[in-house]
Amino acid sequence: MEISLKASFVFYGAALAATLLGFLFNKDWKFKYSVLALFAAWLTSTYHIGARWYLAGRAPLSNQYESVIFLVWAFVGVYLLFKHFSGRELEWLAPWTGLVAVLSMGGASFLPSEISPLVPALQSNWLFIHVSTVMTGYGALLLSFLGAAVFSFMGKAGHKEHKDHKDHHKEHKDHKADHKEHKAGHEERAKSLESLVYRSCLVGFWLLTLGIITGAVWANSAWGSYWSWDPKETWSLITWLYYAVAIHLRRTKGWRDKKFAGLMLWGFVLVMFTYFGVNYLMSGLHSYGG
Amino acid sequence: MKLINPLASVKFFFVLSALMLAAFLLGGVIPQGQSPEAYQEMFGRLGGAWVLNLRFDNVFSSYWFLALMAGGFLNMLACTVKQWKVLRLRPGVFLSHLGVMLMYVGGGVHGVFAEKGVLALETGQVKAEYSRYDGESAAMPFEVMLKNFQVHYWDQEKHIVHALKKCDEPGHEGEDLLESVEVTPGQEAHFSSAASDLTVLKFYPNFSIGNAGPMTIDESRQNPALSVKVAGAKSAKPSYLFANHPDFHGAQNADGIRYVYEYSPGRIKQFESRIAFLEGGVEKFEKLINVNSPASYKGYRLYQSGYDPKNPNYSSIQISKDPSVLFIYAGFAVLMIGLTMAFWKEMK
Repeated sequence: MEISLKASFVFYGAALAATLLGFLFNKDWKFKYSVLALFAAWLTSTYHIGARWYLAGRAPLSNQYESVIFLVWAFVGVYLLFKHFSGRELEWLAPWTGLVAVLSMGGASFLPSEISPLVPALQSNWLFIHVSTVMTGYGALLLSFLGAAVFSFMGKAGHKEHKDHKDHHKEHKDHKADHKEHKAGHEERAKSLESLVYRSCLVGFWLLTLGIITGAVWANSAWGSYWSWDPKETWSLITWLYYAVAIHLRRTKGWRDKKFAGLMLWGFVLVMFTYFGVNYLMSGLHSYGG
Repeated sequence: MKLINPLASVKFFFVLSALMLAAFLLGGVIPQGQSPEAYQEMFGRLGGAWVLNLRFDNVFSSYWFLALMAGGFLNMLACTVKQWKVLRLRPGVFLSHLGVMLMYVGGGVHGVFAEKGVLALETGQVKAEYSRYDGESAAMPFEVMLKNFQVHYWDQEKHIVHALKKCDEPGHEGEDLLESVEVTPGQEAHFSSAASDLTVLKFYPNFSIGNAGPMTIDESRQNPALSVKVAGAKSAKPSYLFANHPDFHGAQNADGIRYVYEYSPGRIKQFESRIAFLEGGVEKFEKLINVNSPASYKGYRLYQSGYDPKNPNYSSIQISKDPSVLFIYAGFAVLMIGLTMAFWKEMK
């Protein structure tokens, strides 16, 4: 089972390496092989999760280690889905996805990974439904964060590149057409990225809503209370309300591009605090998940 | 109509959302429901007093938080009424708002009508009242009897005896572990190393000294101890090994090998109560409840919530009667349908 996890780690690394090598040798295939490596990593991760599920006799979602592995799997899965439906538009995001996956899995390797029996409160089918929904939501919001980070970086880099290009063309006026083409390519890439940031935010918000709801239904069937203002619940609600406000700001006040990207960057800080911070800094009904 | 415009405005929504976020953050950061002394320790005398005055100790039941929630409901209602013509064409957005409004209503119904408390029962006991969280007693329209209570374990508790020998090497202090053996009360334990075999005479879950000598206070594992007889020991009296005090009264053999007892509790798999519902002393039906599997009767739901490790006959059962669940679940369903419709259009 561990070999499949190592293999997926190597494939995620390969997704990153393929692009770097492609850039180094100026090859057109760089993104294509990155996506292929990501897909291979996702398949081996799927096998790993399935094998762990079989061995444990329950969904592997009961502790921090298992949830991080699932989160990376969901994040890459969401990216591959978006890539599938967007054609080659989002291909160039593959190495970034690989980088996030490598870093996350590297971090997960420091967490206790043994399979342990479930405490009574977690012995329910709701464990899979609730945690997988929330983690997939986090995966989509991570994609939105990644897109927003690249968008912000692209904005700055693009601005500088554009300026350099302009200076260069001042000296060579006959290259005006080339300049226009370069600008159009940059804008098209920014547009597809901005769309990805928003759409992955919508997917993440939808799943986060469903995750909170399934958690509430589970809590009501286990403890007789659908909401207890436990720290995890409160921080989930903070995250949910933040994203709800971000979507309203975009739809009613026209916050797009950089402004919306900024919202997504800060939003993911909240997600991370809800996911990790609460487990380590506060105790509550979700303490066993830490 | 004059009032509806500011109430329905997007600006009001953003202001309310910012205030709600601030309230959630306060409730998420400041520990809730602590004693006044605890807040004084955390924030100083003056800060602690402010926390209590502003109800930051119980943010989510404070008057200002409830007012915020009421504001949120009014904002959504006014927005829906004012924008009805637009919302009619955008059913996804309308349903999302309706879902949240239903949850607000559910919250109100919960605040007014929900009943909740704890039913503490011992095996064979019958009760028609439970204790509410405010300390008052509340009557139920039926009686509940605890017929049986059981705790199940993933693995049973273990008793392990470690044989230790003082380190002989010059310049080295401390003890070397020779061998660890899992033992069973009433049986002889064999050591394959230089340690002598020993017979475990008795297990005391909660050891104490009574008038008649060593005894166990109860079945709780608060002070686990073993009485043992080491093979070849000069004294005919048994020795005592204490899990919580490994250096106290450690049994020794003739070669200076010391024995230390380690108690490993079993991991709990499930705890469950068999309860019977009675009316006028006549049993109506019985049910086995455990965590994640409650029982329902006459609008009340009974949940297995806890047990007492010191008392194997005790079961703590949470009882709840909450008519708001209907509104809340309807709100959940409507919100999800609304979001799906609203987002589906945008994802295309």
